[in-house]
Amino acid sequence: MDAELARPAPPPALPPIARLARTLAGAGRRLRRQHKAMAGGAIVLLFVLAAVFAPWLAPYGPTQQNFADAMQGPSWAHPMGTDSFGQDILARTLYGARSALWIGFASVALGLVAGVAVGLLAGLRGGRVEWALMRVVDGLLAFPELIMAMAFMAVLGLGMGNVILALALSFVGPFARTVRADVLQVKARPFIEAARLMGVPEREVILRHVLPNVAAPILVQAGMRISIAILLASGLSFLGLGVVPPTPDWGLMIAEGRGFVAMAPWMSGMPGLALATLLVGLNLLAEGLSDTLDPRTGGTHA
Amino acid sequence: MNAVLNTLEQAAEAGARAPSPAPMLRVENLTLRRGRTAVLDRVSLTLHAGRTLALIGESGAGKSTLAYAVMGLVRPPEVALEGGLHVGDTDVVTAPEQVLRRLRGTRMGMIFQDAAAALNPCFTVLQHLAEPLRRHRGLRGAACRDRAVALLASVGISDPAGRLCAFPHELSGGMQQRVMIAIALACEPQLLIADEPTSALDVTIQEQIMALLLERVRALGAAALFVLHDLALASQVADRVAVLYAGQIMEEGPAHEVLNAPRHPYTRGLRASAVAFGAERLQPIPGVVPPLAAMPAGCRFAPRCPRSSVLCAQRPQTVSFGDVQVACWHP
Amino acid sequence: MSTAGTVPTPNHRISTGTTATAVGVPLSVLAAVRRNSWIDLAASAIAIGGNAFPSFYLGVVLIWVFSVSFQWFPSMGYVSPWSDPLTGLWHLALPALTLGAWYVGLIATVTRASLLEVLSQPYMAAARARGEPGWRVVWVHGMRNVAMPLVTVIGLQLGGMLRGAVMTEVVFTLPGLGMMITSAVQTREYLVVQAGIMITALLFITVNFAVDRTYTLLDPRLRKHGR
Repeated sequence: MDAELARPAPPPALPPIARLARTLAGAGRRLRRQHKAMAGGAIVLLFVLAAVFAPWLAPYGPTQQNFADAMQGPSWAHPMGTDSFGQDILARTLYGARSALWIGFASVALGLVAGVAVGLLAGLRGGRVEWALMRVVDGLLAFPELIMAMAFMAVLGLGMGNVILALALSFVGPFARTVRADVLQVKARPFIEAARLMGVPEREVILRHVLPNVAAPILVQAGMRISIAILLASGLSFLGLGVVPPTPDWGLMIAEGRGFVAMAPWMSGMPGLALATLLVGLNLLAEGLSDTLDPRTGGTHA
Repeated sequence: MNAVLNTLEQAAEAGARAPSPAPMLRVENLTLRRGRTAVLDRVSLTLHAGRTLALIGESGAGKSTLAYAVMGLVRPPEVALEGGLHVGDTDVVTAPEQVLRRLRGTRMGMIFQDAAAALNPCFTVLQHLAEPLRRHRGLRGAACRDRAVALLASVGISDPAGRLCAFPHELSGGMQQRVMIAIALACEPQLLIADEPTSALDVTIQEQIMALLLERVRALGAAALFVLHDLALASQVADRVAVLYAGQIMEEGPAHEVLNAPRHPYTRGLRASAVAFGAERLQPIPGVVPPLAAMPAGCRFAPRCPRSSVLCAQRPQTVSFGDVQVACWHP
Repeated sequence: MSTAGTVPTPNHRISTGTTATAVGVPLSVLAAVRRNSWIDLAASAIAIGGNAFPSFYLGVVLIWVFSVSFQWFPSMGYVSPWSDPLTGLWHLALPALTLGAWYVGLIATVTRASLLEVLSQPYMAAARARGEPGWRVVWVHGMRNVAMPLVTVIGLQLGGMLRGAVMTEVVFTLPGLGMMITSAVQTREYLVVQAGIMITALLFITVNFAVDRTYTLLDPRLRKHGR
């Protein structure tokens, strides 16, 4: 009897926001011990800063042409050299970070919203709605992302906005499928049934109970998708199906430099290095994050 | 006096064979270190052919580590080994890997705790059995198959021929454990180590499996080392019992003496904490096992011991009470 | 438009796939078995690099290093390996290397992760307790259980391979399926684009289906009972 009274009272239930904050704080602590994620995070941060402060960091304008200085190697005046139009490569690389990061985040965000909407609808409604939606998603998933993006660009035309749209459309499929699977899993959990039995209105069940539990793995996946988005965007530009010249874009710069590889390797080399570094950083960050959040491998040294 | 007691014991065991003069397993002051901590601290055991020894201890005491060490599965450079560990006439500590590999499966056999996890999900029962038969006995084809069927029959599996093509997940827990026993005994080892063989099974099956194990072991005349945490089970299956706490042997002797009239404070505590029918209160041993990194010097049970004193900072000498060895300053 | 234009692509991809698997698997097995050794670190570096480096950039870099600077390999053109094996492979070497880098990275990551999990399983210790030699325990007992996740990833990555193939075909001017679709999009030949996409999708679905079929072969737990 005494033992029962001596047991401490259970901690008061916290509102979801506080709980989320606490989980994130705990994750933040564990994250600091993960070298992979820290290295990746540092790299990504570097690029974000470069992108944000590009106008101040760039010595010249990105489209400022100067034919007298064309095809110069790296020098004090032009730390990364110039291209065939005399544009400064460092400036274009910095501004290229802007377009790359912007396209990456925007396309993933759009695809995420659409994918979550479709997945939620399919998972929660079930029945014929789910069947129909999933067949559409299956159709979308039958095409490799690049091919589909290329097809969309053929229809929509070139330009950064269309690139974002095309990529977002290619991402709807994978997101929808994952969200639906997660929703099905969460739907079957007892606390959902309990909420319904207590008379909680359906809308509230979705918003307060289903969505938060589905959000976590989806956000992780979205993070990983950003590097894919940037890769695809650069690829499209490389193929001439992306942004319009003379927009500073790494893919475009690599394509332009390809013809001059023998004479001016820095034209492709510099933006390519930037692209590769950013992708490595994003991948490291994503891997480190998923290592931390996965209870089985969390804490193991990579 | 010891010799007389031994002979009396032998005579008392119905149908027991006389143990061979040289022990099957001889552990002498074995110390096993991971990093700086001694997971096993000067452990000594002896086991003769035809006899069974139960190694008792809590989780984390080092029982499984000792079992793996005897099989030679835990070796430098992952750990540092000091002392003597002899299986038959082979010194496990110094022997090269090839020598040990020949011993495993032939001279020594091991049964694991969770049969479901210890059987490879990709291989059938026949493939599991065929492996040691092929490697150590050179059996192939029909001869191999026949021997496999005979082995399955000997562990009490009905329709053994039909079971050969089954995968582990298609068998019940009891059957999986029987298959594991069959595999371990395939080449008729002289030393069998069973690491908690029935802990993962239903209570109703436990008794059957233990009985089967004992029967097979006695039929082979092999020595058996049972790693257990259940005192009652130990009293039923073992000739001798060794109590392990935090890597140190606390008490060792004939089963009925150690378990019915324990002398070491830890063994007494274990005995008292076993729930008696109709008991009103539980009698735990106060405190917890210290973490590996913070093991006390000397007797490791001292912090929790009701009889501890200043002396206990030194490793106690072993005191003999008849055939029972007790490592304590205050038995 | 001709279907002959699609042939180089499978050749390219087969050669890439085989080399990548042959290199990637043993490398990551070694890495997993000797954790935290320099092999492990090197394999991790290759895996990360291969995964992240965009194929088109790598292609350009390789052209610069091997074609321009060292003049060892050609930077463009295609000869069918069926008609002239040596020249054909010589032309495919750089593209295969480019595409393979990414593939090796992927294989290495998956193999290492799966193998690490498998190595800690009790049945591995049980196999050693039966006297099986170390190499057999890893390669026969261990890899069987790694096979399924590995095949899943290898098979399903056809999509990524197609993406990389398109890039490398453009970079190295190989007249393949990817090149065909790309030029068709650039010149707004919608019919060709449609056809190319349908072929791609068909390939994708076929491979996915084949991978699904092999699951039951690899993992007995997935087979229906009552054989």
